[in-house]
Amino acid sequence: MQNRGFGQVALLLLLAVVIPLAAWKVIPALPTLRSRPEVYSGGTTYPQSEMVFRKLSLEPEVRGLPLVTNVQVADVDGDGRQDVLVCDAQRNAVSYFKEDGGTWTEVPLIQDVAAPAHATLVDVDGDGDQDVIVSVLGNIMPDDNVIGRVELFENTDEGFIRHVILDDVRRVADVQPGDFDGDGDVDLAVAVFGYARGGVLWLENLGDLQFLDHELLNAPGTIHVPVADFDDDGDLDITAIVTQDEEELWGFENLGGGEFRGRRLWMTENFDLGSAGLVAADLDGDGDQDLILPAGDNLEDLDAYPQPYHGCYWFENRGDWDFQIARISDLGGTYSAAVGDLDGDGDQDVALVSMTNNWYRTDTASVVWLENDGHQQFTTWQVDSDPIHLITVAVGDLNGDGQDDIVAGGLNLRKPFQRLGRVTAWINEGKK
Amino acid sequence: MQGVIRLLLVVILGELAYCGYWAAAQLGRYEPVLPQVVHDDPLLDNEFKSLADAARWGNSLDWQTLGEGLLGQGFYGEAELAFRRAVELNPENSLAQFSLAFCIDRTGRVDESSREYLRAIEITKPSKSPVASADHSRYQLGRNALRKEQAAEAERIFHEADAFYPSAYQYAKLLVRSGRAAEALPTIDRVLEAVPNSLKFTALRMHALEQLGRLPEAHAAARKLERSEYVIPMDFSSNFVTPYNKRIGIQKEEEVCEQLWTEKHFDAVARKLNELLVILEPTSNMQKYALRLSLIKVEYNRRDADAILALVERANADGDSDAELLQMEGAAYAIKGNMDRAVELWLRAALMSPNIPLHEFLAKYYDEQGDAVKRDEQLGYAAVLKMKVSYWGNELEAAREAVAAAKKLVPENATVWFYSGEIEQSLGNLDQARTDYARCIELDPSHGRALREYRLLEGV
Repeated sequence: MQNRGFGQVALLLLLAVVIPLAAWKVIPALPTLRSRPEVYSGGTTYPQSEMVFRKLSLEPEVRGLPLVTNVQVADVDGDGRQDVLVCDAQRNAVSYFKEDGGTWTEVPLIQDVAAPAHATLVDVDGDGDQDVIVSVLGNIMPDDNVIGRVELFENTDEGFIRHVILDDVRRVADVQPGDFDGDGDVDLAVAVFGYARGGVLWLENLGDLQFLDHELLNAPGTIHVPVADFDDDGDLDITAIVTQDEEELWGFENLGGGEFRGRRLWMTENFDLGSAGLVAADLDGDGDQDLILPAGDNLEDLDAYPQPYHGCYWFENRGDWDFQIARISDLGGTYSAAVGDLDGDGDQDVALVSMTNNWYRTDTASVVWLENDGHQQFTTWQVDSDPIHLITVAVGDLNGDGQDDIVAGGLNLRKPFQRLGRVTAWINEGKK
Repeated sequence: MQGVIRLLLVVILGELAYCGYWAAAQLGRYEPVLPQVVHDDPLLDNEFKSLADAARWGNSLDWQTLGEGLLGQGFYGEAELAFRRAVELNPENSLAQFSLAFCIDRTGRVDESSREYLRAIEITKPSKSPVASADHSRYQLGRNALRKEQAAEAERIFHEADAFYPSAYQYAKLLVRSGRAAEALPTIDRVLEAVPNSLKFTALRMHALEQLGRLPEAHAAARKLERSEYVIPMDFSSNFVTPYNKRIGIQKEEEVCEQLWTEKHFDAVARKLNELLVILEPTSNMQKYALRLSLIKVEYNRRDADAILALVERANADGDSDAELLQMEGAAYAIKGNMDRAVELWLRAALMSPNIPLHEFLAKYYDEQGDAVKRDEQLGYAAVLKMKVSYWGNELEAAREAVAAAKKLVPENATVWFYSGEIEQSLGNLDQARTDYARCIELDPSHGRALREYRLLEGV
């Protein structure tokens, strides 16, 4: 009886010790029965393109964090073949990639330019060769200081000679050529992006590489200044997209004799739209120049995220400076647009790239193309989701097969610092 | 014996009851949700884990702290869940409520974020800090209306809250943009009376005056704009998130370095930066490149030329090439006594990104070479930069002094005469300004701004 009692005590003692020990071991490992709450995850994806685009990194080895600001398809060296002209704010240089026997090689063109935003190939001095005009930001990061310039690199037999044709201005994002005063030489339209202050200028060519600056608009955040005869009156006009909370489209009608009439063509109260560029093209094939607006810049946020109003907008030129807006894509973080006939059906399609889609997903689109059905109804097709952080896109026939290809550049300023690319092409191989 | 048994039974029953409670709590616990990604910052995994451990059994403040850590690193979705839990635990936690609204706002869910901002307005107590205040919530509400292009609703919200300067700005801007500049001017002038140097209000005033056809006043506002400052923030997003960004991970460590740098503990900074660079080496984190540049500057202070050159070489190998690297590389060669190479690099840097110390270095070099012409030219460039900086900073007397120095050193530089004109005009000395602009145009007939100012003054 006494033994039984001792046994009971021993058992209870054991339980008294084992229970907390077991609990200490087991309970913390018990999973919660609450279901994992869903994490909101935005971003845009699209059906895979039925056109086949073969990805080709023009520079296979990515070094550091590429900061490409602009790519263009152009015959830089005059050999009759298309090259890819590149502005690079990491290397602070302008270069071009040329193809030879299926291999792309980078050729340095200009070095020591502080954050080049754009390079314009034009024969400024009328001597029969292509000079290069570089839009100099001075700093790729937000900066309202007076650090911008327009630098002209005169093409000579001894190489390029630098001339600073505009300084003492804020960050310059774009320069476009045109004979605005009808005197037979090349004048320039200039987008001074700045940051909190900026503007639109035109530079009157006085000869001997001297340019007289005229102010057209005092407004911050002017990105691009496409030039065309928008009102079909035989002279060149200037348009400009103004961003930085303003979000306005401006037209500067050429009145002749170096006079312009500025008019606001469109605006939105939505300061967060993120206009990121402006492209002139006849998208509907009616013989006049329309405007295409990629929108998705929200670099003011430490961590940018796609917004519901991002995408691509088409301003249809209805004549007499009437532009009708239509949204043709909702790609999150859209930063650049280029126009070309990608499917070879005779109408104009659009290629877009995204800088700030939701990159923590691996399926969100960084490159898409918008198929035009011939009536300006567009279907968005995903081309790729890698590399990411793409800021600039161009369309042109890179391999001489008669089909338009796509080329894009990466500006890697935001997390995640993954899926990096510098200059990447997507070679058009036609329909599946 | 029976007594012992009873006592043990009571103990065991107590243990079982506690374990039951514990198990139930464990099974019903809210589990923090952390991002399932590979971080660019190798320190973040552990930091997030410890924040989550604290939050798991913690109170509203612990969940808020977790949310802030996640938000600071851009994980809006995960942060939203943490802030939501913080608000559940304490419905009066106004900062968590604001942060919840902010996460939803920045991920593009405009209507939902407006509802959360309204709730934040209800519970936020008066605070001196504008960030996350009720005024800030109202401002975000108005901005959300703008994002939906609901101009009338935005105008109503901003008008009701126009004691808050950013709201006053948005209200006045809506009036100007809709052609009601005259209605906007009293609001603009009220704020400019209190904050005369405000860049955004000065710009708005310029546009309002242009619209009203008061062109000379608009022109004066445009000139004042050049000397204004961004003193009233209009977008608080970065102001709100940046402190959280610096609270954990590599950014936190960088703050430690900055503190050491401030205290001039260069050896300690170098040690710390090298440690961080080792951590970041396998990644492509942007901070790696920024920290490398910081280390170059530290090594310059330690006069370690070889270390600078090794770091510059590394940066170049990673594709980085800029004026700052050129300037530091030049400094390394100067330390080593190779002045020809140093000057060659400094001249390249000056071409890209001129700055006062760089021109002074070059002036010193030319002085030592006995080349007074080049020395004065470099000193002149430095004086021109000082002149501009003082002018833009609205320090007109200091700018005037710099102009006097620049006129002596580089009298043929048109920019000097343009800014001299600008300064004199700003001080009301119109005759002197006209003379200075005329001299600028004489030296550089393509100086458009000088021409415009001269013509306007001629019309006075």
